[in-house]
Amino acid sequence: MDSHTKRKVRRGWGIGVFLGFGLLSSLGGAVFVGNNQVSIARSQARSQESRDASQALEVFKTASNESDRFKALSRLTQVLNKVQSRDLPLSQLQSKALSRSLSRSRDLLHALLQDQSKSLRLSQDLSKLQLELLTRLLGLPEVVIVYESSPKLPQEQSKTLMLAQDLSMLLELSQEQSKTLMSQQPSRILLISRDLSKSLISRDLSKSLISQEQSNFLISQTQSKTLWLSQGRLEALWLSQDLSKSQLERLIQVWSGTAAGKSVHLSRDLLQLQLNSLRLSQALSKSLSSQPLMLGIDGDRKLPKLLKQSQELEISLIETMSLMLKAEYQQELLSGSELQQSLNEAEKFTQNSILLGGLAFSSLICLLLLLRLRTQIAMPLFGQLACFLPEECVAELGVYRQRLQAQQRSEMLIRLLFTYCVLELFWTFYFQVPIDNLSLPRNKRIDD
Amino acid sequence: VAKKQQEEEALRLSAIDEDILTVLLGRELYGLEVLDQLNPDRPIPLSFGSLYPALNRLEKKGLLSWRWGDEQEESGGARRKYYKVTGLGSSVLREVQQYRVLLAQRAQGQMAWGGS
Repeated sequence: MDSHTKRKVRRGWGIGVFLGFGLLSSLGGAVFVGNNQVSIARSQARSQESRDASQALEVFKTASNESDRFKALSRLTQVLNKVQSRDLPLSQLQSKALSRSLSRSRDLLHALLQDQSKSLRLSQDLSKLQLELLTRLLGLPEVVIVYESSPKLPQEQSKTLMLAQDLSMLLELSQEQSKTLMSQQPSRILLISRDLSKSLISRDLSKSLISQEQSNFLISQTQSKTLWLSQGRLEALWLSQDLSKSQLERLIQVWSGTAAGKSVHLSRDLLQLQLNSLRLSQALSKSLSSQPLMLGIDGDRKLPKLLKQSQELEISLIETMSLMLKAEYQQELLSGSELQQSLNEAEKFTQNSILLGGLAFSSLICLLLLLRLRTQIAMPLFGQLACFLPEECVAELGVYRQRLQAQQRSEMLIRLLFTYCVLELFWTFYFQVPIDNLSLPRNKRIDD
Repeated sequence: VAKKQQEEEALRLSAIDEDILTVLLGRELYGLEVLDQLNPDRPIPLSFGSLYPALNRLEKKGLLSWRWGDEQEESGGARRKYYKVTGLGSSVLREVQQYRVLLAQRAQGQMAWGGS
C-alpha cells in the first residue's frame, strides 16, 4: 500500500472520529437541553400550584361554614399531593420533613374531625335519652294523678317540675357514679344506692302545698323510681361487666330489702325506664371502653378541649402550608418578580429551543458526512488496518483468523480473539513502544 | 573498542530475546510460527504485543535479519516478514548458552563437593 493511500485512509479515519465525537456531543447536548425544557415546564406548573395553594389557604382561613372549609382543605390536600410528587424548591431533607409533617397533620385533623362528629352524635343521643327518661317520668300515671288531684295546680306544677329536676339530677348523679363504679369494687354499689335514696328523701317535699298523703305517695313513687332506675343502672353495669345472673339477682334482692319501699311493683313505664337505662348504660360503657372522651357529662366537658385540639391542629396545618408556600415565594423572589420570572423562563425556553434545533441539525450533518466518508474509503477493514499497524502484523492477523476458521471455532469467539489481538497491537505500537523509545538512543529506537 | 562495546551490548539478552533466537536458530520463520514454536512449552505464553517489539529490538541489535514474503490475499494484500538469525546472533546465543552450561556445571560441582 502506497503512502498516499495510507494518508488518505488515516485522514478519513481522523475525520470520522471527529464527526463521531461531534455527533455524540450533539446528541448529548440535545438530551440535556430537552431535560432543561421539561424542568422549565415543571417550574411553571409549580408556580401555578403555588398560586392555587395560596388561594385555597385564603378560602380556608376566611371560610364561614364547614363545607367551605372542607372544600378548601381538600383543594390544599390535592395541591400538596401534587407538590409531594415533584421536587420541592427546598433541600431534599427539608422537603421530606415538610411532607411528613404535612401528612401527619392532615391525618390527625381528619381523625379529630371524625371523633368530634362522633362525640357530638353521642352527646345528642345522650340528651335524647335523658329527655325521653324525663318525659316518661313526667308522663307516669301516678304523677298525672298528683297533678289532677291537687287544688293548686300551678304550685303542684312547679313542685312536679322540681321533682323532675331532682330526677334529672339523680340521673346525672347515677351516670357519674356509674363511671366510678366501673373502676371500683362492687361492694360500693350498695352504699351509693343508699346515698341516692337518702338524698331524695332528705329533699323537703313535705313542706310543699301537696297534702301529706300525696307527698308520701310521691316520695314513695320517687323512691321506687329511683330504686328501679338505680337497679336498671346496676343491672346495666353488671351486664356490661359480664357478671353472672345469680350474683346480680342476689345484689338486687339485698338492695331491695334494705331500701325504704318494700311495696315496690313493676309498672310498664318503669320497665321501659329500666330498658332505657340499660341502653344508656350500655352506650356509656361502650363509649367508655372505645372512646374514653365521649362519656356523657364528662364528654360534654371534654368536647371544648377536643375542639380546641382540632383548632390547634388546623392552625399547625396552616402554618406548615404557609411554610411551604413561603419557601416557594422566596424562591420566586430570588429570581425577581413573578412577571420577570415568567419572561425569563419564556426567554430561556426560546433559547433552549433554538439550541435544540441547532444541535439536531449538526447531528444530522455529522451523520450524513460520516456516511459519505464511509463510501469514500472503499477498502476492506484489513486494508484499513494496514494504515495503522505494521504490514507484517496485519498479514499475520489474517493468517491467525484463517487458522481459527479452519479449526471451526464459533464466529463470536473468532471475532472476540481477533478484536483482542488488534487492540493489543494498537496498545503496543501507540503506547508501549513510544514510552520505551523515550529511554532509548535515537539509533536504537523501536519503529514500525 | 567500538566492536567490543557492540558485542557487550548484544550479549545483553532478555529471556524473550533468548527464546526467540533459540527458536529461529538455523531456520526462517514468520511471527505466528515463532509463537507456535514457543508457546506450547512456555510457562507464560507470548502474545503478538510482546513478540513484535522483541523482534524489532533483536533486528536493531543485528542479531536477526528478515525478508518480505508473498502478498496474502486473506490479509488484503499485506505481506509477512520472515526472520532468521544472523551470524552475530548465533554466536551471541552460543556464548549465552555456554555461559549457562558453565553455570550449571559450577553449581553441580559445588553440590558434589558440599555433599562429600
